[in-house]
Amino acid sequence: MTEKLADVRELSDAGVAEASRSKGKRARTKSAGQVWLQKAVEPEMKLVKRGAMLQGLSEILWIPQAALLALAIAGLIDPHGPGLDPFYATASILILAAIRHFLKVRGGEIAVRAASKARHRLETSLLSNLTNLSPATELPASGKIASIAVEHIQAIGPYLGRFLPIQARLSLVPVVLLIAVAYVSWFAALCLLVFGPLVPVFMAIVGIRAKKASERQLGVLADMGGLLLDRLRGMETLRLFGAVKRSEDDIRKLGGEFRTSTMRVLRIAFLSSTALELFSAAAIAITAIYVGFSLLGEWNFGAYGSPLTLAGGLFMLMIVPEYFAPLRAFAAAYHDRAAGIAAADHIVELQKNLEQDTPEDVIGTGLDVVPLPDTGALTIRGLHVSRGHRTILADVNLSLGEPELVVIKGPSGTGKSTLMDCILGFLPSDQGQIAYGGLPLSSYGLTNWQQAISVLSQNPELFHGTLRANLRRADKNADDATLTQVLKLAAVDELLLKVPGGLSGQIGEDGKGLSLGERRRFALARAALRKDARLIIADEPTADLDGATAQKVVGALKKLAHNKPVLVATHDPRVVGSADRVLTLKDGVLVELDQCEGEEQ
Amino acid sequence: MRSSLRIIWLLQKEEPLAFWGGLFLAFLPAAAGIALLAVSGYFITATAIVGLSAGAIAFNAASAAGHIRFYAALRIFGRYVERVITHDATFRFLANLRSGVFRGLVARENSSALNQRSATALSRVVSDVDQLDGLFLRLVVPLASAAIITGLTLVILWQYSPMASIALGAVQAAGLAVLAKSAGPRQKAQARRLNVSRDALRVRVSDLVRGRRDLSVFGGLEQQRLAALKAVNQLDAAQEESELTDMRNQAVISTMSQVMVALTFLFAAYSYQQGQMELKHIALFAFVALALPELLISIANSVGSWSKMSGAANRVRSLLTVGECNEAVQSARSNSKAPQFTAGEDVLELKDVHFAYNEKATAILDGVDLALPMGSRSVVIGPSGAGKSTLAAIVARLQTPQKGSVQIGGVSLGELAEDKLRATLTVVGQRTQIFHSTIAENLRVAREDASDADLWEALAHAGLKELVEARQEKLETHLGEGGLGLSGGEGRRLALARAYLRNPEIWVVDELTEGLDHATAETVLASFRAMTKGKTVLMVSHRASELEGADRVLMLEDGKLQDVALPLSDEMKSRLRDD
Repeated sequence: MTEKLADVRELSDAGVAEASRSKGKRARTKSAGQVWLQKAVEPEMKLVKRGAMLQGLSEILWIPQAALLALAIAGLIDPHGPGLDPFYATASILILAAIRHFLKVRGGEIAVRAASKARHRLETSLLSNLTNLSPATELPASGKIASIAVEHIQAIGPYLGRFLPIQARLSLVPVVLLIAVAYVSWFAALCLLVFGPLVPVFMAIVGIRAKKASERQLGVLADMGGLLLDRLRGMETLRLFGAVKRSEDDIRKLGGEFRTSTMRVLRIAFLSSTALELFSAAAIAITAIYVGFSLLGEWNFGAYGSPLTLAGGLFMLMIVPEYFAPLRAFAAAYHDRAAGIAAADHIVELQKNLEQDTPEDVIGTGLDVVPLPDTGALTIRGLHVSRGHRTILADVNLSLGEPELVVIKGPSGTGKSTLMDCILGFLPSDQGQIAYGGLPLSSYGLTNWQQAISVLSQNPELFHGTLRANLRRADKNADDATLTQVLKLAAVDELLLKVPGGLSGQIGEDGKGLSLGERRRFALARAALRKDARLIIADEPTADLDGATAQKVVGALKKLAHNKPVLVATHDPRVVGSADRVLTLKDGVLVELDQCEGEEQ
Repeated sequence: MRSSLRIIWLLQKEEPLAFWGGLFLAFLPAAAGIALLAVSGYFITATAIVGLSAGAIAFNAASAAGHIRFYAALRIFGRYVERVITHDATFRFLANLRSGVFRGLVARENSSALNQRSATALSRVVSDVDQLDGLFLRLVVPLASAAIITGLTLVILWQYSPMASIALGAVQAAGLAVLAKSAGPRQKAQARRLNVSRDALRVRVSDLVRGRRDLSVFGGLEQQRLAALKAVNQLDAAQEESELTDMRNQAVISTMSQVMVALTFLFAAYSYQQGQMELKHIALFAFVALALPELLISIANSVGSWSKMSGAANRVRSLLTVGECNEAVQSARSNSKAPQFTAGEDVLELKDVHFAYNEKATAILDGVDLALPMGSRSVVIGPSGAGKSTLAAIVARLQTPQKGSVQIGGVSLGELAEDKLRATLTVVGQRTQIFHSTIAENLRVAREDASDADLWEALAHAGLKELVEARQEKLETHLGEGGLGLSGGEGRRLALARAYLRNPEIWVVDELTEGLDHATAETVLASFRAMTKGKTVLMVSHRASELEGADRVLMLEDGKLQDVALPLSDEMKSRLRDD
């Protein structure tokens, strides 16, 4: 049973080398990911060890099986020596095989289930962390986080379910097998004792080179992935300039480079697995020759006093391949470890981001929450916000209560978005107070407050699903007539014709299938659906819209402002022109402009 | 299955020597591994018999020991050589396959906004190719050598004990059957479930992250978390199931090998007791049975990924086919006439063009007629979503109209050779891609053989010369991530410089100044006007400033194109963005 688990991706073989090499200085070289990983899988370690023990026991049961078989063969050949009836031997081997199977599957199940449990726990906690986070926190790209949730946490599974049990068995199975061989012949056991540890040592020598080569190869791999994505994104440009053929050549050329560098790694990896092969084959050959010449009576050493028997010889020959099997399995599973640690590094990095601030700092989640009044005025007094050393809002005062269209104008970067984030409770303030109906926002509870505001953000987010499902995020119970009505109000009802299926029609992730203008107006419809909203906030609602469409959006905002206050951040003169009140942010202070002054600027 | 065979066949055609040589070389060490154990067992038994009969029978111990050494060496070095050869050939093949897949993707992807795939979906197609390495290396090679060796072993052992060799063959066949079952429809469904739940989780999490602002206001945050949690549960269940299947497969194979050893020995012993077999061959049987399942184990490890590989093979093959079809279309066009341009005549002519994104959707273009005389400058305006960009895409053959004709210089667009079309017509649009490479390479996308002087001239015309000159690496400055970041206006200028290098007769311009502030837009427009003096220009726009200098303004509305009287009426002006 040589070559057990010899995965061809034997980059991993070289990994054994790395492991044995770094063993001495492991304490120093542990990465943050490694430390985290160890802690993260701690609760499952006991289960994993139990699974490993069962599997190890299963492997050790090969000893009685081999002994039975050896005795039975020897009995046939030398009826006077020790022997066993072939039928009974076979039956016993089969019974042992059934026990071994049971142990192996049972142990495997325990390990796999433990891995699944760990994975599930990590994913769940990542999700709740993401949900509890203040929306204003800067996060890595959503695609990156998604790939952490999907690929990276998944990669921890094989590390826990496959690699760790094998590692645990490594310190048990070969030792027991060695003792079994030593029982028959100390010479053969000595050979194994020398060859066994030699495997990692030899692989270590090869592994040092393998590591360098594999780093280079990973670089080329990343280059190739990057090039392909880059070219695919620019496909249209390439077609327009007739450069597709040339890109194909580029891709082929880089593929060639990838092959060269991969082969460089693989050749080394193959060499290291050849070393394993070499020692395993050499051990078999030496054992066979030693046993043969002992039986011929030419060699008389190695056994204890009495000469070696045929049964003893056959037994040893059957044990030898199994002695090397755990080493091979370890080598083959080594890439699970590497992948697990690499994934852990990514997760740790994200975790740092998630720990930055929690919404509790923004608005208290006190238990005694006061119900929100149906009407009231939003009052901001002496609001001061700074990020790092920069003061963004110095002393903002504002009162909003009557139905009106209020515009905050001013170039980007003056703090308009920060002010909106504060009103929404996404950002904490250093000083000052935001109150509604005379009570500070904190008395209503964060979620209640946020859900009492309707928002049209600059990059409105639409979700994968139907138009109807997207709109109903604002009002779960809205019927189709209401939905059509708000779409009309936002001047985007032509979508019902354009998207096949109308309200039941699918729009893609990120609102794919809609132009930016359509997305913005669609989001406006969604905001308008919130009939009970105390306040509507819109951030640059007309950016990148053509004249006619922008006019429609302004009209819709104006209409909404008949019923409740609408606060708009913009620098579009058309919106400013329709405003009831115009404010501007200057050096972190909100200044009211009278109407004609606003027009002039 | 068929797709996988097709891809294996392609590999065989491209790399025949490595393919057949690799198979042969894979067979040698595997056979040597079995021979090593078998001969060792035989050697021990024979020596024991000789030892018992006290040298009465002549036995060449030295020769048997020689055999053992030979098989050991063959096993070790044969495997090394085989792996190097097969891996090298496979990666060479994959490099070609990758560019074939790229060709297919380009051919398939139309710019239909509804069909646009996200970068993640594209990258999955890319990773499909990488999955295929296992097809030859981890399935075909071990399967072929397992089949050959099992057959050979059975034939050889048949001479010693037919019964024992039947037992051996039966158990081996049972092992193969178990493995074949684990590549069956149930596992395929499992793999599909795994993929679906993985994609679902990916979408839910990225929605959660990107939309957390809107979600927390609209109260969907908890709902979204629960949706993601549901995907997590599905994914974990599917993943656990597939890991359990793999684990059980391997356990079954290893148990099977013990059963094989026991049964083979039993039958060999029985043959001996019946007097049908020589004593010294008993150990031979036991050790062959011990070594043979090794072949199955290496297959058992890869059979779990078969579903994944076969899915990848299907997708890759369909792309290769699309690529080949497109190639055929291109070569049919390659002998088309060159477009002729004569002053005073129409260089671009659209007649009764109809277009809809799909059968169910309403028509975007519903009978559009347009004729552009040589050297004219026309602007198409219209509300957003009216189909202006679609019109530009049709003229550039990025979209094919369902009905109607498009002619360029008297040649029908459908028949025009790709290189002639691209030399005649260029599109500059908002979607221009800046590639992650040097400025020079970004420009040479347009003209491969452009000299550095040409590039500088194009940069000067586009108003980018100063910017590039200020950089230390000049033309070799890297763009994109980690390199020089270009602002929106600079990106647009780079696109203009590219187009200028082509120096086409017809310029199609899609929202040239979209997203640029007023001052930047003015300078970009000025560069553009200087560049296109005397050329035929078709602009798509909704900004008033872009209309300046136009001979003709057309309004696209409700699928129809109509001339608008110049100078523009106030009512018309109000429908445009006035900055």
